[in-house]
Amino acid sequence: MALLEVKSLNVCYNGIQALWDVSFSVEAGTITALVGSNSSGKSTTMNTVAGLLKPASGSILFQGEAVTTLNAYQRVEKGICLVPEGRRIFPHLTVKENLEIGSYVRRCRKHMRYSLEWVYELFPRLKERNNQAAGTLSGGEQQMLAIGRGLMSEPTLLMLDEPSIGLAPVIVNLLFDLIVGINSKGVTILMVEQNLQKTLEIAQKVYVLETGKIVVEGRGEELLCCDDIKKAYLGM
Amino acid sequence: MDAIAQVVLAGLIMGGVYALIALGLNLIYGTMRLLNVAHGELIMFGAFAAYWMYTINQLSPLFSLLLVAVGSALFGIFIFFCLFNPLLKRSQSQDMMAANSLLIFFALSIIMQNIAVFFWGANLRSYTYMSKVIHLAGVPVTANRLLSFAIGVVLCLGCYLLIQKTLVGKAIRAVIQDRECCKLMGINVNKIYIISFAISFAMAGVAGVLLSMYYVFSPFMGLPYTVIAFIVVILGGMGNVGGSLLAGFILGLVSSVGTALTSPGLESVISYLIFILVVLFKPKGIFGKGF
Repeated sequence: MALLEVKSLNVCYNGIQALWDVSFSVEAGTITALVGSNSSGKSTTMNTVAGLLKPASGSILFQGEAVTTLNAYQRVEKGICLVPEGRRIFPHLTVKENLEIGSYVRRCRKHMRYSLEWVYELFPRLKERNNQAAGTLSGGEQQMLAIGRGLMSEPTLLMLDEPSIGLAPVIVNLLFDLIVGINSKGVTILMVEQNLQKTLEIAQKVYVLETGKIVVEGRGEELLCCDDIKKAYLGM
Repeated sequence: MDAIAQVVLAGLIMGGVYALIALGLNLIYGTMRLLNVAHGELIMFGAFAAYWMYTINQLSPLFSLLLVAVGSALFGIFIFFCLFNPLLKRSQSQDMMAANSLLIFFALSIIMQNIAVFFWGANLRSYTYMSKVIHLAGVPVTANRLLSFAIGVVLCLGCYLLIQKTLVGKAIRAVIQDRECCKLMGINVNKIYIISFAISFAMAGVAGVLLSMYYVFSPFMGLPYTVIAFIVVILGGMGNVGGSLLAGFILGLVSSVGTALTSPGLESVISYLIFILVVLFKPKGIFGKGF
């Protein structure tokens, strides 16, 4: 049984249908990626799985349990956490306060201190900036903080929406290493990315979205080898 | 020298009440982006409740303070569930929500004023409680004002610590900064709204009790306090809860010194002048946006 199963999702956004019959699954322990051109419905898919958008029809199963009707905050309690596009850190809270908010859900409050140590170990830079307002961090540091904040909720499924956007190439490499590292610790990852080369390299399963429909699915390496698909859908 | 000390003390005492009022107004504005124009009427209800309990049941205002705090908080929660929860569910956009909520708050203020007139009449009222004069380092001040100041400061500090140090307080500040994202952090944003309503209403009620100990009050006393709360909120930065605490004391001091130098009749002129200056030169408040 897959960790996350999305079945024939139809989502309307501002009165326009954004997703058409989208179905996909995420196996436990893998890195799964959604790719596609701009406005192909990747972020809409992520926001719907996280619970920010309500689907017109279709269902979302997490660990075999339907979560379609749950609110976003209840899904965090279940272990689904989305690190949103554009980082969305709380700029006037300190780095530490941002992380504490990450483990707000009841399930995680008791382990807050251990989670903090874990995240600081993963991102030593955040520990150095502990008491600094998060808005004063650099772009790369803010992305680390956003991911660290997501990890504070001890997610089973960590969703990353465009984590590398706006980051310097050196930092992007670092980021992808980190994602693989987090995944190797047992956190399943579902990500949306612009950086196709790197994403196809690390993802076990890739779904290609086009105008709100899934048009191709396959293993990352497969897609990387298949020139037709790369040309037709990914512009590579 | 004594005169100066007296003016400063009067300013601080007024400032404590201003801070309390503005803090509540700013909390609802910050978390929900809604402006409670019925805030002054909550103060008026607090004052009448204290008057009523003191004159009829001989309950000390110190005790009715607790009752009013709890009652106001419950009233806030009631109002939230009856009026704002349905509105939140139905509103398509924040603009619609803000416009409709303004109507609701206006209606609330009118209804509350008329209830007060209906039950208690439109006369000015007051009562005497702890009106003994104390000499504080040579400066004469009535005991009730001093008590009101102490309670105001303690409550302001308590609120500040709650918002700065506790996890719920951090969640409140997070909601002020980015509501949508808070949902992704597992925060039940509706619960934060309810807490804001409860604290805000309780603070207004308590401020009413404190004022009633040494001021005259009537069913129409609310509006000037709503306006003062607006000015303090603008001064300290909208959504900046800590800022409105400090700004409350600043406004209290400035208007106290200002009226001493000119005339008591100019009090509201001075407040509005400060308001205009802040909007002109520091539209984001004197403390900016650090919350």
